[in-house]
Amino acid sequence: MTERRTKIQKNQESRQKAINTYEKSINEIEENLRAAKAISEKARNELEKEALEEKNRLLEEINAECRSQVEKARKRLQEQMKRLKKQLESESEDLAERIEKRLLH
Amino acid sequence: MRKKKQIILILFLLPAFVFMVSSDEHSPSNFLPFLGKSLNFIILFGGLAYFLSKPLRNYLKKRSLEIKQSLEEAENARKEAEEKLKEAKVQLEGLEEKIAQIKKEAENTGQREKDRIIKEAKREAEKIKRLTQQEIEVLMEGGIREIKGYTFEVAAILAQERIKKRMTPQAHSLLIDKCIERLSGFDENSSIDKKIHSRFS
Repeated sequence: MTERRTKIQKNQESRQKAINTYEKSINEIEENLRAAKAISEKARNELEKEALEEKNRLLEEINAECRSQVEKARKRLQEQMKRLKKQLESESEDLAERIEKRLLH
Repeated sequence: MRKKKQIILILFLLPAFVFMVSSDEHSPSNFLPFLGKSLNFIILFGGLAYFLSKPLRNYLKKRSLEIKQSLEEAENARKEAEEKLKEAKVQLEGLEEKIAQIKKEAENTGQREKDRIIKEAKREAEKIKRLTQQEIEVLMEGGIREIKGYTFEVAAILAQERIKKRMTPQAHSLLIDKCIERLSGFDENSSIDKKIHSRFS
């Protein structure tokens, strides 16, 4: 009877001890995993943020460059038109003569 | 079967030993009470043995089964707990590796996301460049149209001035005649042309 009780008690004690250690281990594992996941998530978000910043920077640069290109083209065009208009004013005589001939002859 | 025979034999012999002393001390005429007592004893204990043996046996069997079960349960619970503990230890050992894996996976996912965003930005940048090129082309076309219009306008003004300078009332009427003739038919063009030419020259 005593032997049986001792045996059961011993088993129960071992079981309880194992369960306690197991729970402690599991808690430790879960805590470590949670921490690792949080760190990973943070790192991932950092990378994403970095990428978005780079994207914005790239697009801003391109936009500025394109605006500058358009402005340059507009200025060049205006200058060319100014020059061409002067040039054409002298050359329009010929065209006017042709119109006159066409109308009168 | 053999047990039953043994029990019956014990039941017959036991009263003989119990009442042996009293039978020796008294006279042989006391044999009858002895026999009666023996019979009583046999009937009492035999009956008790007969009625109680089965439930007692069942109870003891049940109890021993319960004890065995409780021992087994305790043993199993201990084993189960130890097994879990072993698993937890294995998990704990592989924890560093698992954490490293999680970090690497997150890093890879982040890098993939970053690459995707950069790729998308480059695509958008190309689109902006294309649109800018189109805008410049539209500007150029507009400029060309404006120049053409301007040229014709200047030429028309100059032509108008030239015609005004050379226009006499006669030439004017001839021009009107020519226009009317052109409208009425092209067959007579040649004679009017000659008239106009002669008036301008």
